[in-house]
Amino acid sequence: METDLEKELDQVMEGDGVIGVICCDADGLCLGVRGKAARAAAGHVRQLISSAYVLSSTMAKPEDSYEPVVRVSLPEVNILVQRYGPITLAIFKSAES
Amino acid sequence: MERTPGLLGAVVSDLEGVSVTCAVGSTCGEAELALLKTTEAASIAAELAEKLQMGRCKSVVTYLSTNVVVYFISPLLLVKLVAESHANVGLLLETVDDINQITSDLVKILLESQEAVQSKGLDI
Repeated sequence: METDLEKELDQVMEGDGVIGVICCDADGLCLGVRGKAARAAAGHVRQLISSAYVLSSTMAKPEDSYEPVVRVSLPEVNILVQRYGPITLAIFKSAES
Repeated sequence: MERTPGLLGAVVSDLEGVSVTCAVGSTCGEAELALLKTTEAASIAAELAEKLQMGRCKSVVTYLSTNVVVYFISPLLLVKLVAESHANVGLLLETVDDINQITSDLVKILLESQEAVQSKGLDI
């Protein structure tokens, strides 16, 4: 059932500078995790994008249709978070890449 | 309570459902209060889950039409969190470490009193 998701996560890990990836559902429960990403981060990742969505909806016009991307910049890693419908994906990339 | 969005109330009880302490948020309604107060069969559900022989049941998440209830089950205590239906369940599950920290003193006292009772030869 999760084979396709597992394959996609493995493909994402092959990206340049990617050191981790986590995928979670609408309830903040982890669907898959790879590399340096921690399973425990699922709820926080979901909360992050939910807050960004609320923030961006205050600025967006009603006819606009987009999903915000959250970037968390840390000394050694950048975390990129985006929501795709009920799924939230966070990619951990080395800050050097 | 304050830092977990959607969390309406929490109760710490023993495995029989006898409440030790309870915390209720300002937005907690009557229905949620009733959920917090009722004696639960969570410990029975945990026992049944353990019959799958895949280890000890540490938590149970119950999705209701208007609420989500998360139970953390330890050998001595049951912690119940009642949240709104759209609450971030992943975040709620992550509070287990904080909850264990908070209840560690209580667990220590319970263990000590159990040992004291057993050493006197009483059977509870």
